[in-house]
Amino acid sequence: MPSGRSTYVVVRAHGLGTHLIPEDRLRSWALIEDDSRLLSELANTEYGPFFDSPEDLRDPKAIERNSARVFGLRVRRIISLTSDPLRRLIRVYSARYDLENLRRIVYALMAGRKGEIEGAMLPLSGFLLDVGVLSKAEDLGELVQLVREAEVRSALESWRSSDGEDLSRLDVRLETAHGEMVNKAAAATGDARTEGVLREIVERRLLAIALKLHYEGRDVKGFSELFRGKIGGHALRAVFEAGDLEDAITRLSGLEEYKSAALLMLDSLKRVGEPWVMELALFRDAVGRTRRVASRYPLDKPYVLWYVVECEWEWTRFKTLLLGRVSGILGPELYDLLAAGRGK
Amino acid sequence: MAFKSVGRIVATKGFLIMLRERVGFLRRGVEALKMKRDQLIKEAQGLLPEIRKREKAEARFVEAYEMLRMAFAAAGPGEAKKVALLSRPMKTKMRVRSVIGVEVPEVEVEALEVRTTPSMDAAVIAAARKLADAINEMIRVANVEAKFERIASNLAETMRKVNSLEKLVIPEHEEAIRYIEESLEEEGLEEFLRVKKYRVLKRGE
Repeated sequence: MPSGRSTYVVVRAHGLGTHLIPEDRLRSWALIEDDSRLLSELANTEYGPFFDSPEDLRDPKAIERNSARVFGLRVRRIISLTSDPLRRLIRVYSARYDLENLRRIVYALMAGRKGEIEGAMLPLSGFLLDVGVLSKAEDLGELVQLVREAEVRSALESWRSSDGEDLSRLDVRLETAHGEMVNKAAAATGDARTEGVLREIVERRLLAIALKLHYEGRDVKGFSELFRGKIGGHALRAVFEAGDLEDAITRLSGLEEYKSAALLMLDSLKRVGEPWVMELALFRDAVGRTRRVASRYPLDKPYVLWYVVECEWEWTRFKTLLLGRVSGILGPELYDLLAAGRGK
Repeated sequence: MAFKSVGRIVATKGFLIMLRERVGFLRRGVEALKMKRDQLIKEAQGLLPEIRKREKAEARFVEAYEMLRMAFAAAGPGEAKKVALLSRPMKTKMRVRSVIGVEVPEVEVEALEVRTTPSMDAAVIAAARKLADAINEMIRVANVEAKFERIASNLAETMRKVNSLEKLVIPEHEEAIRYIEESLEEEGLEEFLRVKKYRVLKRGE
């Protein structure tokens, strides 16, 4: 029986969900060439207050910063409405952006480019880690000491002690640690449906990481242990028993769960020679699954999680729309990209 | 008479011998230049299929640019900055090689490393790979084009030399030889007549 508080959050999520931009409306904006007209369309959305002039729609930094601010505000709003363990789950889930910033700090420190840290950070952080403090670290040793979250710290320590500071292994360690944290936080909600919603997303993100190991031409066998238990058995075998990227995607296309995303990747691999739609395809697939669960349980926790995932999806597509316009992708091509997750 | 390529003419036997030697030398020079010309033509013809690859290299650049646009749209400038943190400048080495005496520049890419990690967006990885491929291909084509350009300009110069030697310098020298031979012959005849006249005059005394 849901408590009054959790019912309130679900009802608020329904209300907040109405502020999301419908997919087809956002897609139709790809065909608007005039910046002033697009600005007037945005005025009625939550992005409106962040874009003051048509020039803002042509500035990639402003686009990235402002769209991230909208996403951050939305997530923080829902976090403030929830209580543990759902609050912890949403914070842990959103902490992937903290981990992304942490990773960028590590990259900068390893490349001896500490001065570039600030400019390379995502304008979104502070869910679990205090990235502002972490960015002050002078070296990797100090950075590890500054990380307060036990799982993340342990991932960094394992990477430093046994992986020879291989950056691909750092990515795998951080992503799998995040997956484990999300799964743990989801299990703490005591609700299998809630667990299921984010597990789908986490699993697909890890799958993308595993596929990109193939893409990098790495010998994936040595990584399989790190993924065990975090990716479903069939998918794990499909990826880690495959000889190369194409083989792995082809094997995934044979699994009903991943078929649509895998076919999209195979298509881009054949047409462009690169599976560049990987994240888009897997995320789109995961969002579809989240929607289905949320529609089955519209008055329960999965709906709140659906809202968070949907905000993230909208943020991704909104950025693609505006940055696509800036980079000169033609309207119809951008429309296709937003429609099917693929372009030319 | 004006023989521009021969210079001042002295109608003496010594000068004639020197001119004949010079013509022999010029003919051997023409032969050598013709051999060089043929070799340069052969080299240039051998480069033609490589030069035709420029179109392919340009198409690769267009493709890479398209992918870069997609990556920019899909991942954004922040992701590009992340990738840039790991990037290192491309290292090239340039040397000059001699092809049949023609100096051609050669640029070699020593290091063009695309450093990627699995957390990077696949679109950005794809764009980086395509761009690196296109740069490599374009540098190969640029090497061939520079070689072809040098060979072609040297070929034109060699052909000009052969033409001017065959059509101007050697004929002028031959003309000069003929002129000196005629002059010497005339001088010989005059001398003969002078001697004959001198004998007649001496006998009449």
